[in-house]
Amino acid sequence: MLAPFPSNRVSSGIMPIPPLAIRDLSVQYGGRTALENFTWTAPERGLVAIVGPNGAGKSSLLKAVLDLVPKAGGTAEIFGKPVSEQRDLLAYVPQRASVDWDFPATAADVVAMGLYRRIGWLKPLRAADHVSAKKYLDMVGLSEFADRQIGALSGGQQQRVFLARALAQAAKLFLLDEPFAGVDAVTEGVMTRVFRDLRDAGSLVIAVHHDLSSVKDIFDTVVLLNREFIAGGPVATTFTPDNIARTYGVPLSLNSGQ
Amino acid sequence: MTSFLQIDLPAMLVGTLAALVCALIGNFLVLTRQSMLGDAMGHVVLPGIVIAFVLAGTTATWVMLTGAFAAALFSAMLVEFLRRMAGVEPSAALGAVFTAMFALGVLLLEQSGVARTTFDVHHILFGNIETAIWPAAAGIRSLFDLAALASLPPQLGRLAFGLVVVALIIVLLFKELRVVSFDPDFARTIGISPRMIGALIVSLAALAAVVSLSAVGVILLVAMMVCPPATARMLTDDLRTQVLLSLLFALASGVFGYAIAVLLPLAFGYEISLGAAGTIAVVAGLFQLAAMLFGPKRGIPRTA
Amino acid sequence: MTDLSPLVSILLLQAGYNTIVVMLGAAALGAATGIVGVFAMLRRRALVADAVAHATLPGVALGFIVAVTLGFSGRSLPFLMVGAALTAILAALSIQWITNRTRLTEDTAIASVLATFFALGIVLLTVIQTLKTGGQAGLDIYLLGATAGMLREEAIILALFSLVVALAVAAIFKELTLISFDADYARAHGFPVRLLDLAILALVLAVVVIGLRVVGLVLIVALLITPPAAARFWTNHTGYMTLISATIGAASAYFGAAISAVSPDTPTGAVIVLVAFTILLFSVFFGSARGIVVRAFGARQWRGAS
Repeated sequence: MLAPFPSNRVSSGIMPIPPLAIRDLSVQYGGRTALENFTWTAPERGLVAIVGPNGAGKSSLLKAVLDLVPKAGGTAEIFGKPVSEQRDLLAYVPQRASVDWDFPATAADVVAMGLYRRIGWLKPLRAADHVSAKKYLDMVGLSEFADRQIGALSGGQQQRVFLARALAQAAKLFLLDEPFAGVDAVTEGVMTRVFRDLRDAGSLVIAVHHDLSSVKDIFDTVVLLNREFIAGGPVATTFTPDNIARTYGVPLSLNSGQ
Repeated sequence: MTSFLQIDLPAMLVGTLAALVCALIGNFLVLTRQSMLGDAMGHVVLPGIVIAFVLAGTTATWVMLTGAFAAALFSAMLVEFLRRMAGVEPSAALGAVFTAMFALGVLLLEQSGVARTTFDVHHILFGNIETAIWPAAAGIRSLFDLAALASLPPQLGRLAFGLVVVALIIVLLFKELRVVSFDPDFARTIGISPRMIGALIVSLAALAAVVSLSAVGVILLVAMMVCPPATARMLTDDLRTQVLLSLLFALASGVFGYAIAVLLPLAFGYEISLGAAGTIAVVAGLFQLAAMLFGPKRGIPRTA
Repeated sequence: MTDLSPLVSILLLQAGYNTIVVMLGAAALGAATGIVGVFAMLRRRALVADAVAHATLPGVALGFIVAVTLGFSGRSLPFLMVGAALTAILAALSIQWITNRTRLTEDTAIASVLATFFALGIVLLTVIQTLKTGGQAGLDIYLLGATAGMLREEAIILALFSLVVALAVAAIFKELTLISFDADYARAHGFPVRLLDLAILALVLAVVVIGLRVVGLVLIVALLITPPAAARFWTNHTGYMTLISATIGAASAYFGAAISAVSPDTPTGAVIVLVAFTILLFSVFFGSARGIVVRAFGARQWRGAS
């Protein structure tokens, strides 16, 4: 099913280059510090949850890595190079509310946008591209909604369309901002399955995640932050009550969720 | 027939071509919530055109284009300065600059003495489609006579040039325009600069304003940039269909609007004339009203 | 324009009595627009005001036609004003309806209403121009404004209307300030936000209709936008901002009327707008609260101290 994803050739070397290496990254908004001296190197593959309280700088971290907001200091490298040279290798799924839902575009149109970079400037979409877009919609279980206007879909379905757009980019590194926020059970199941397929195909998926109770079920790696790096590593050894308390400032029960 | 060729055909063509070029780029102004930019563009290019004419002494196409583009660029820089350097609220910055530029244009028109000879404030505001005439037309055969065709009004060539450039760029960059209008953040992650495409949309709007302004006036320009795309918005959820429908409505407004302006008073036996530019714009507005009342995609009421 | 002595003598109120009354009337109007403009800008109604102003044109034309049909002079002020107010209200309602009832966004609603109403006005004007009646040329002044030939009574009416507007704003000043600053808070504490917004729109309508004669409907919106934008650079206090905005509006209209009194051919509205814009540019650099020069100087001082 996931044949379009090439096997991870980067890992064939002796010293693999990490998909994402962040050093001393700081982000500021009008004098207010959102993130300070954040340093972390991602594993070669897997499913990473970025966890922290509201206003901890989780979204800022993703946006700074993608050059969507300016860095106040530090660097972020994608497979050893600046993001501007590695756009082909990464895909981004923004938080839900950031587009005009009345826009004249169908689900298939939105997914096809993931192919734009490979099609190239000045060239129109061809019939094969539309077929390809439908195939990615099928992967997230939405093939019968291909011609539905994007605003006419449910919240969970919209989130799956944006996931399909990211899949269409055939990237090695996936960055998602709260993909599970406010989605239905079907969408949650589809996304979890797609994430696992991506990992098995050798990709790295990094998602900002807000629901502490499901971290262990979905992810294998976790990064805890609160304006600065707190802890990062395998869920089993890093996602400890102690580290969580350090992140949130108070002891939290793992089962309370949010 | 001859009088139709001499008077009605060129005027109808000027009105319709202006409608088409403005509606084409207007689609992207409407989608990026910059509809008032069309209005602003129509106002700010006036001083540029007047200054260019005074300096060069001719209304040659490239002179008009250069002057208007310089004025549009200067205004854009002024708005950016007021917004970013000085912190003026965006719509206030736009409003202050476009009114000041238009006021400057009006004063220059009066002071430089070009008023009523080459340009007229009323023509700029109301449009002067009726002055587009083709005296050399002697009959249906003139349509195939190169010498006669060469004396077609110069606005026609300018408008055709503008339409071809705008259409070509929109066709070539259709998917880039679509992705930037829909999701600028995503566009940036795939290496398509929203700033660059945004500047392109503004430049094309400026081009459409320049080729239309002296031919049809500010008001037809604004009406055509907004009404046909807004009409099409009520009828479809597909961007390509929307653009094509907006062109259809622009064409219909141009043809019907001109016909109504000429024929309606005659039909009632009055010896009065309706301004063609105004009538075309009103017809475009009526199409939009009909689409807002009866269109299948007019949208669900927003509960404020 | 080369000989400045007539301008100086006019500015110093040494011209004829009539000219002085007209200039003071224009200044009163400038003050009223400056006051109303503060809240129009803070509540993001500036561009709605532009559409409403353009939408007075069909009303002016219809007023003319009705007046002539009933045997009055076509330039009879009450007919023109009532007509202008009626179509302007219709335009404001249309914008609201389009924004609330269709998928079109507010900017598209404003632009299309502006264009369609103004175009309708143009069509009606071309009809009037071919009517066999006098006074058509008089309608021109409503486009770009003129103080030439303005009667003393008209100027006095202008001043009285402006006074009423100023008093109305003063009466509900703190409520207007509150909804401009934090509409949600105001709503939560039982203030009639919708009604107050309607009051702002009504005030905008009033100054636009009053101002048509002097500034013209094409450029009147500048008097609602530019003075408050300039005033913002001199103070951080809403009350002072309103007073300064009124002063800038009055000064712009006063100088504009004076200059156009010297050279009668120049449309008064255009001169007034350019004076106001010049004051804005000056304020951007030298404004005592947020001006660029002051901020640069202040920042250096602060850095020197730390």
